[in-house]
Amino acid sequence: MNLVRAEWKRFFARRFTRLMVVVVLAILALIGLGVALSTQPPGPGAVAEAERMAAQERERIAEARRQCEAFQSGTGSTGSGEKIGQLPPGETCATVYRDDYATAENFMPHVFSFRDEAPTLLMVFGGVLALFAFAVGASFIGAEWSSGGIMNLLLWRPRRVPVLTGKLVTLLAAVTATWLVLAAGWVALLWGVAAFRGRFGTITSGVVQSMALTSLRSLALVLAVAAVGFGVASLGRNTATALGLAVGYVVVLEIGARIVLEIAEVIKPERWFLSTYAVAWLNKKVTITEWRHCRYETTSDCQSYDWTVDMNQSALVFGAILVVVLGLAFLAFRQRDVT
Amino acid sequence: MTAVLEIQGLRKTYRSLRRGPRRALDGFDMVVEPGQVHGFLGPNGSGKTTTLRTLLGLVRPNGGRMSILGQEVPAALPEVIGRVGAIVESPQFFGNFSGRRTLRLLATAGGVADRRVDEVLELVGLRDRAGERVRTYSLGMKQRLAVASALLKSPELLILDEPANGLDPAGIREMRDMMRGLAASGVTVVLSSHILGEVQQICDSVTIISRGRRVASGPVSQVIAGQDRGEYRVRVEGDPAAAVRVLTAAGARVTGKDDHLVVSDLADPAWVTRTLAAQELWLTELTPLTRDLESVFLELTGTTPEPGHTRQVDEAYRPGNGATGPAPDAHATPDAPAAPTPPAAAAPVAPSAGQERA
Repeated sequence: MNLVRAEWKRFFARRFTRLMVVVVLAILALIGLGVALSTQPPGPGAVAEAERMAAQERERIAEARRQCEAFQSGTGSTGSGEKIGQLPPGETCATVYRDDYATAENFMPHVFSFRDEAPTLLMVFGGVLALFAFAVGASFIGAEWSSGGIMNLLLWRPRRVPVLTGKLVTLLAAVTATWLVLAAGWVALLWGVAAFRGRFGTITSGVVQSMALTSLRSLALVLAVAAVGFGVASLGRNTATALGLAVGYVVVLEIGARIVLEIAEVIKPERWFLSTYAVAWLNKKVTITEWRHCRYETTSDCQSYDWTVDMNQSALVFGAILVVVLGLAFLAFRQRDVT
Repeated sequence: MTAVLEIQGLRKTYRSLRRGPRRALDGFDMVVEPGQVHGFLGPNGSGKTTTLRTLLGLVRPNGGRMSILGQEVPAALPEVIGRVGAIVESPQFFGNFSGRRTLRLLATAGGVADRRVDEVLELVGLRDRAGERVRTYSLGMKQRLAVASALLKSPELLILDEPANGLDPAGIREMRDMMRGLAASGVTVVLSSHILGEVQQICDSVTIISRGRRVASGPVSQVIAGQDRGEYRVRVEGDPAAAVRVLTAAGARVTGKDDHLVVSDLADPAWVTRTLAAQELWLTELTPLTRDLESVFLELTGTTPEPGHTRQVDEAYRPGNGATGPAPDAHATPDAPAAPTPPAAAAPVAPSAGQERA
């Protein structure tokens, strides 16, 4: 317990942690500012303009439908009417040229809806916090190795596995605390934007529950990323190993290998990238539409090939990475000489 | 009396894929009695730091037995570590924390009361600079902070690796007084240092290590006496060459220097007086050449500098079988039975047993 208390103090006393919190706050503030500036409560002028544009659109559609029907009945002229009159099989002019979407609401300027947009912005928050957690997690142990702090600590507490466990538990607790505070601030910010410059939408208990679950998944991802950063830095005995590995992964795999796999027309290349599983985890699932490898079924048209990664698969992938990295880190910490 | 620290047959081999295995400790033995200030000496790369790291559980040994305060380590290290304060090699701390915060974090982790932090800061002379970042500290101040961290636990055994490194002369004296004070209060101090004059002044006993093996151990005076060659500086009135002839003819080993002679392997200096007087050669000086710990150390470890030769770190003397490196002239130590023995005494009398210390 003493160790956790000391590590807790150390975590929040570190300049790197404080700096990273400031960076995260700056990023979130910029995103929040962007969201706030992009939304505007509709005034009477905006409503009138939207109604005018909707009416104009309805007129355009009605004219196109008239031309289409004239072409279909053989009374229409050639030119644009001919083009308009060529319909896909099984369609009519009435089904193709519908004006039900041409309402004033659809021509209103963007208005932030808490119900519709908060879930996505909570995922963005999770992504930003994951970057924070990786850097802080790596530095928390990496800087200790390179500064000699680990050696000093082991001269006080020679049981190595409890020492590393204490540090990891403290890191996860501290990241969770940071996440909770920042998440509360983030939701409050979005709430404020909805209250003053947007709308809330219909918020049912189901919506709240869904957002809470999304947030919890984002927290789980943040903690997993922190633990992986911690584990890699502990293995390499410095922060740079973890940060280098992260940068190397993004450049070599997420960018380089993605290009190579696309050129080689490999089937389902997204399955090799952690970003796919991260999105699937946050979003419950992700469906990827593949056009390059067509399926020819009832028609001669190319049918896209869709496949899905769900959160269970993501949990498996991240769980395996976590077990391997932390397993190796603990094994090395227990066995290797401290020189 | 139970030894505070005991090491028997300690072995450690570092393995590297690129450089292959390297034996750092090769059956090393060491005993430190309670209440002593014990010097732990050895050339660079001789295994001092590896010994201390192994003792403190930072490095895994390949063999041997160790005990601290009567308990086997590393098995009982968690139980005994609270009574051991240690600094190993150069002090390293997190640069952005202040000295006080650094110690407070250690104290919290070790369950030591915060007031002890201020006590040790006072003790090492960092009280007024404790609020500054460690990054701004000089090497000597970092060294003081390291000693403070070792003292936090109010240890019964204090292990200090090069504690005087970077200290100014006043700091060295303060450190010396502090160690003396700690020993007087019952704390056993193990001190690794290359400042041999300092060690000779403050240590009760020493262990000398060379290439992973003990080459000498015991009270400082005995270790020095063990290397005594019974050498005397002799000056005569008139012709020194005549004195060399007379003494050599009488069976003494004599070396002529610029303005004096050195007679070796003498037990009774009066023999020189009598021998020269018999030939009407009159002494103007007959002084015992006292040895100090430094010369004994250089001799025992085979690291005496030779003009025109830059010694490599692994060229120290390895006692026992398979000795390599430049063997010194004499290795008459209790711990190096297989080492070359001193040249047979040519003097008509046995070498002397004791000489006054420098």
